[in-house]
Amino acid sequence: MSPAVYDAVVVGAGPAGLAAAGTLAGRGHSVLLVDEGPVPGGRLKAQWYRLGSTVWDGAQEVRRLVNGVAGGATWRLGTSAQAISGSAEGGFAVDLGRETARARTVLIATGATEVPLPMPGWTMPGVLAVGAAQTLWRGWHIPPGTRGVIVGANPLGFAVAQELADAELASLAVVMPPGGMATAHLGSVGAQWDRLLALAAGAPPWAKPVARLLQARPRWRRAALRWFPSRGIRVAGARLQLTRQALALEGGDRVEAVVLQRLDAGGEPVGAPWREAVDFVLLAGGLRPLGELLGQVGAAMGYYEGLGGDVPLVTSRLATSRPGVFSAGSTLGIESARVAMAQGGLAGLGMAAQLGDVIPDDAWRGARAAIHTARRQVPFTFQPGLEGAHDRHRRDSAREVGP
Amino acid sequence: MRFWLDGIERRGPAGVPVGFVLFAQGERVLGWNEVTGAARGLYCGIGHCFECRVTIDGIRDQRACLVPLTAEMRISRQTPPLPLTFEDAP
Ligand code: FES
Repeated sequence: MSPAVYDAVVVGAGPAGLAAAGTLAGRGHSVLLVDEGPVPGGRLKAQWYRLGSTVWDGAQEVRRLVNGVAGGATWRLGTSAQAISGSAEGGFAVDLGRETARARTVLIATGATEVPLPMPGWTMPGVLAVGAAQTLWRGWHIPPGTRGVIVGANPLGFAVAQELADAELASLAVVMPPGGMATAHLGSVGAQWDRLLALAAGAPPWAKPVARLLQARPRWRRAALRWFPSRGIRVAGARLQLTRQALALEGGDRVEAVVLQRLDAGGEPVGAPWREAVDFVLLAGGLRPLGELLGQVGAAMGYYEGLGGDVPLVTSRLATSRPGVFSAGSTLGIESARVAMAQGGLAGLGMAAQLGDVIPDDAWRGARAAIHTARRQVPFTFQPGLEGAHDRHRRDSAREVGP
Repeated sequence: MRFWLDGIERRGPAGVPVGFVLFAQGERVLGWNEVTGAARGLYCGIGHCFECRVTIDGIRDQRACLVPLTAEMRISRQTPPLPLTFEDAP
């Protein structure tokens, strides 16, 4: 039976939302869990990678989190939260299309979206955002095709390349994105190489070969790239071709070829472009926090490059500037699913406190410690400069929304 | 399990999002851009881009990457509208 007013509406059933819902339900609060997807788990369910001798299996983590929520929440899968507003009776009204849910507190854990990588031909069928290939293969065992390229040399692209290693593709190359206006936010090819270098410092499993190559300090980058084999080096299941750039995608009703260009060690084109046959292309533009609903409720936001974009300013309990509205997970900055889970746990406590629960000090300490632990366990960071961004975000948050 | 694509009988696994079922069966084109007429298909796979919109059981613009396949589902690809033309008044 659903109450007239839920103690909490959780928007997003990914790692953060599920963890928060588990915490809240475990304390006896009524929770409504909303997600657009047909199954819970968000992007976590398609994650799979080796970490030392262990394997991180996202699908298994999702099952564990869902069990933690169990029957303690009311589920609304396949449902979009379209708008959140203050309700006349106090609390919030969450517009779910067919119904409106009322809530005392709201968690916005909508996660992240992929940054588009517009290039000639990118809307053709067979061209996918790289995360879609991850969902297709890891979630449903459907390969993206047989022969293709990943455009964009960034952590998300590499991670997916590794996850496609057992998809028995005829070939998979990772190449640089085209330059020009549409990709100006990525900076020059040289700037992108430098970013890769900064990331290779925390060498994730798939980056070992790159890390070895790039451990050279940035000023050695030119030298390292001069010797970079033009055929690329093997990284996970793919060939990393840092000195090749995709200029355009060609085909009719589906993508058939990619136009490639060789680059010199300074990132400048050399020689004439050529075409290679492909039956799929994955665009890896990176992730940015998805916080449209936060804008709607008027939560104070700030832009942090290291966190991937605009994120809400939050208290140490993950409360936004709008009383009763909390945030956790990639909506707060692009980090790993483990961090999102830990943040969900903390936000769950924060919401419980808002609802009148008395939370002992050691519970707060434990929840915060879990976030720090998760940050140390990450396989890789998505953006260089993450720590500096955390510090600034914390300072700005303390000033704007309080401790 | 039986479903229909543009009126033609097909079989596919229940519970898998419609757009993924069609992708696995080699159907890359899920519709045509209303303005340019260019073919469009699955792109983000997570409900953000709306490139995969199809008509399901009579309801237009359903995101094929989010809606799980069910028995007897009727899926149709949306054709581009006819171009606007001016007609001289008689
Ligand atoms: S593929 Fe983007 S919304 Fe369905």
